[in-house]
Amino acid sequence: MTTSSLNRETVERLFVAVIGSKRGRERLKSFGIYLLSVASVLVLWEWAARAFGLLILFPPPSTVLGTLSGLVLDGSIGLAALFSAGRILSGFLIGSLIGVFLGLLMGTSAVVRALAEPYVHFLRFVPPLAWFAPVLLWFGTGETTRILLITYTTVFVVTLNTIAGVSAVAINKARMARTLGADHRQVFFLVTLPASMPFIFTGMRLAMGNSFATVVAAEMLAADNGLGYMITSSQLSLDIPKIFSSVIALGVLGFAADRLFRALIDRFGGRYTVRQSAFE
Amino acid sequence: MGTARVRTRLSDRNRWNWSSRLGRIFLSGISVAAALTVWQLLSTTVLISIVFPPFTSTLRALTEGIASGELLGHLSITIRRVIFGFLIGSAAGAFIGLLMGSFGFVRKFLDPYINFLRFVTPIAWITPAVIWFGVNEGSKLFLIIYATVFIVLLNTMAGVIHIHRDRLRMANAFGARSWQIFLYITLPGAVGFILTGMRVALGNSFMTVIGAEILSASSGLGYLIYTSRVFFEADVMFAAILVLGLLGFATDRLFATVQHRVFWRYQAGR
Repeated sequence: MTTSSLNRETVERLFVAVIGSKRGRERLKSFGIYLLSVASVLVLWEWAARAFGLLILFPPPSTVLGTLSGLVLDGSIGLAALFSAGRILSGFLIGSLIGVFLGLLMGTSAVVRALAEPYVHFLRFVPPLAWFAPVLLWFGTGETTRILLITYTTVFVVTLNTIAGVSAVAINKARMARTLGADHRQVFFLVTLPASMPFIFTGMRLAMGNSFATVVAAEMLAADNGLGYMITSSQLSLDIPKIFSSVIALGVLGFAADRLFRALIDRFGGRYTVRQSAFE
Repeated sequence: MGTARVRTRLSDRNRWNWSSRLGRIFLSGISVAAALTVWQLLSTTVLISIVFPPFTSTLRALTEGIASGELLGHLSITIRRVIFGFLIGSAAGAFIGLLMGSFGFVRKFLDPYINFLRFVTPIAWITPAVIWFGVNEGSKLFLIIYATVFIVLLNTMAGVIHIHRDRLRMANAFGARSWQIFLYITLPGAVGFILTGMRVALGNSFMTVIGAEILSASSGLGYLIYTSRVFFEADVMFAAILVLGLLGFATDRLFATVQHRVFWRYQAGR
């Protein structure tokens, strides 16, 4: 078999796979629309930026991409993203742990719930950034302040979702376990906890999104590294392409974190995800 | 008889205990009273009261702030910012969401941007926003609209997509035109989802407005909290935080009431 005939065969097979099947055609069409969408907006953006003439204040995509690739190549944007991600991760993990613990306690014990409810319902409406000034007074401008704020951002969302998860456990499941002779401890670990996992994951995913908002503002106000700091430090020199690059990096980081979290849930939490069951 | 037995069981359950309504209120009351006492004692004895003000001086700062009108002035500015941005953002989000839900082309065309921008936190845009829309209300309005639009949009789209296909088919079979299907089936079916998105967005708007007021503003509760730091007025900070928590709680409850009373026909998922 010659190379050309092999190539031809491959092309033919590809052609049949893409154009020949209905699903392939649908996919091709979606891809075409995506391409059209990205291309048209980039062209419009480039044109608008040049038409306004204020290239410094509203840079065209070519300038932004140039700056971004420079920042990626010299590693500075990667380093800044690493600092931000590290802060989010530590605050997020501490906050999630506290939130799950508190949520499980509040969900299973009516007494704990009544005792803790006023605080949870009051504090969850106080935006994390409102605590920035007091925390700054108490802990200074160090890493503690930023991680504490991210922990605060995470705790209540996870707590409330965990409580919702515990309350949503089908009562027949717990009853059946009791009938089969399980004690309270076994019901908790084998029924309540696994059944509330999907809610806990949902809460953590929401909290992750909010943590990004907190970390950026905290880095803008008091930090000397991270993506938020990159934005404010470029503000002084009016380096708008650099600000845009940081914003793009934030979007990419947020998107990647969300996808990673979802993949982790699918990989390790698959057995806890909601499925229709005969007992519900 | 069966019913009689059920009644006794029910009344048994209503018996006064820790998990009854009264019991819970009692426990919550005890908990709050205990925390306030501990706070007061700690801040007057162990901790430095200038950076950790006792409850009584927080209350004094609160009453003084209300009496002088300073606190209420900042409060009304923050509320105004949130309401305008939230309403414009919700309207835009619902509109674009309905379009994206109804037309596959629009959905695919806008999808890359929505899925990128919703991961960029509103606060990250503050510098470009200040440069484009000025340090005054424009930039804050932009940030709150931005914080609102994507959540409402995604929820609206989900609402439109989740409408049961049989309903659309039935309307079609009865000869409804496409605008009638939109007006009588798609829109009512999406209202519940729109409201759910708006309620989440309201919380995010508060988060964003405080950040924006701290970073670039000369008024509003966020500004008040942050400038109090300079003068070491921790009691004013605490008073403002107290007001913020109550405000968030009140607006959320108000929204939930409106959602359940006024729009009860359109509960999500019905």
